[in-house]
Amino acid sequence: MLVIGGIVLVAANLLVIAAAARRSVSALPVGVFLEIAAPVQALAARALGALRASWEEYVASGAAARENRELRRRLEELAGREAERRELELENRRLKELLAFKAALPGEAVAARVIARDPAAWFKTVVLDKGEEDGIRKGLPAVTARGAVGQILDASPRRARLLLLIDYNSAADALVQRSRARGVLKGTSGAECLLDYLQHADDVQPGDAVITSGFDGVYPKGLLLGTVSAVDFQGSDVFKEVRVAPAVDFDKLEEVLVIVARPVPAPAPPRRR
Amino acid sequence: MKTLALLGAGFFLVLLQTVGVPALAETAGVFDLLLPWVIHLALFRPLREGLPLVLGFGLLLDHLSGAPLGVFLTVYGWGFLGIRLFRRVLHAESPWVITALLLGAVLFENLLFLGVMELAGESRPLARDFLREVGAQLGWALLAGPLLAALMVGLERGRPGRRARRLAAGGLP
Repeated sequence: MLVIGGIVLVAANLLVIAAAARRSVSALPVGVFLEIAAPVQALAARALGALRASWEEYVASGAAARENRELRRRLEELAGREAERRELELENRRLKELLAFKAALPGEAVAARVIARDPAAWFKTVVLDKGEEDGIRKGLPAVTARGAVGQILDASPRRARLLLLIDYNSAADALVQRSRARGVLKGTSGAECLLDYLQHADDVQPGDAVITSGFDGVYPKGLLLGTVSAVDFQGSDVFKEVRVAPAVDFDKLEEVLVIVARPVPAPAPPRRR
Repeated sequence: MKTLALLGAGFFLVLLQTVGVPALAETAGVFDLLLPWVIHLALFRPLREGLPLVLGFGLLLDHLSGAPLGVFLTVYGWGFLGIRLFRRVLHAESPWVITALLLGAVLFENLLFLGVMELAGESRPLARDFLREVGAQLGWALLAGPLLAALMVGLERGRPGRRARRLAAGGLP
C-alpha cells in the first residue's frame, strides 16, 4: 500500500514537472514570493555583508597590528641605533676637542674616562679609569678643553680619584685675567666657587674671566677656571666676596686629560759680569 | 640566603648611586640611596645580621667617597643603632614611621656632612646651596618614603608567609 502510494506521488510529481516545463505554472503570482522574501534576503545579505566586512577588517587589522608591531620594533631599533650613532658622534667630537687641546698643552697628558662619581652629594670627586700604570699619581692636575677640572686625590694601579675644583676641599691659585688681581679659588661643593683674598683695591667685575696663576705648582698657568658671576663687598670687610661660575660643567664631565709630565724649564743663561 | 640578598641589594644601591644615577640625571637633590637599606636592616633584621652589613658598607662608601674617612661609617652605624633603640617604642610597619625615619636619616647625614665641611674644609657650602640641596633631598625622601616603606614591609611579610606555606607542604622541619 505504501509502495503504491509512493509510486503515485512520484508519478504525479513528474507530471507536474513535465507540464511546468512546457509553460509557466504557478499557484500564486511570482511577485508575492519576491515581496515576502526580498526584505528578509536583503536583511540577511546586509547582515552577512556586515559580518564579512567585519571579518575581513578583523583579519586585516590583525595583519595591520602585526605589521604595526613589526614597524614599531624596527623604529625602536633604528632609534636605538640613531642614539648610538649620535653618542659616538658626540664622543668623537669631544675626543677630537680633547686631542687638539692635548696637542696645545705644555707637557705630556693622559686621557682618562670618568667611570663613577662620589656617593655623597657634598663631596665632589670622580673615579677615573686610568691609574699609576698610566703615570697618574697624587697631586697631578686634570683639565679639559674648557679649563681646569681638579687634581688627583689618590691613585691605585689602574684607577684614580680626582678631586674636582668645586669640592669644598679644593683650592687653586688664580688671577682675574683682565686686571691680574690675584686670589685663591675655593670650591664650595655647590654650583659656584669663591675667589678669596681679593682686597678693596683689586679690580674685579662680573663677567671677568678667572684663570690659573701657576703659582700653586699644581695647575699650569693660563687655564680657564671660570667667570665672575657676582661681587659682594661690605665696607667693613677685609676681602671682597667674589663668586665664580666654573668654566667646566662638572655634571657632564666624561673625559679629562691628566697632565703627567711638564716640560722642564730651560736653564737660565749665565749672568755676565 | 636573606643576608646574601641584602648584601646584593647593598652593592646594587652603591652602583646605582655612583654610576647609575649620575649617568641618567644630575645627582643634585638625590638622597643617599643606602639610607632606606640601613633603615630596613635596623627595623626588620637581627642585630648580628644587620650591624656587620651596615658597618661594612659604611667603610666601603668611606673609601669610595672623597669624604673624610669615617663619615659614612658614623652615619650608618649610629643611624642603625639609633633606629634599633627607637624600634622598641615605634610601630615599625607604619609607612609614616618609616618615612619619618628616612627624613630624619637624610637630615642627620647632611648635618654631619656640613659639620665635617665646617671643621675640615677649605671652605663651606653657600647657605642657599645647602638649603636647596637638603630641601630637594627631603622632598624626594618624603615622596619615596611611603613607597619604600611598602616595599620593606612587603619583603618582610612575604618571608613568614612563604615559610608558613612551606611548613604546610612539609618542606620545613
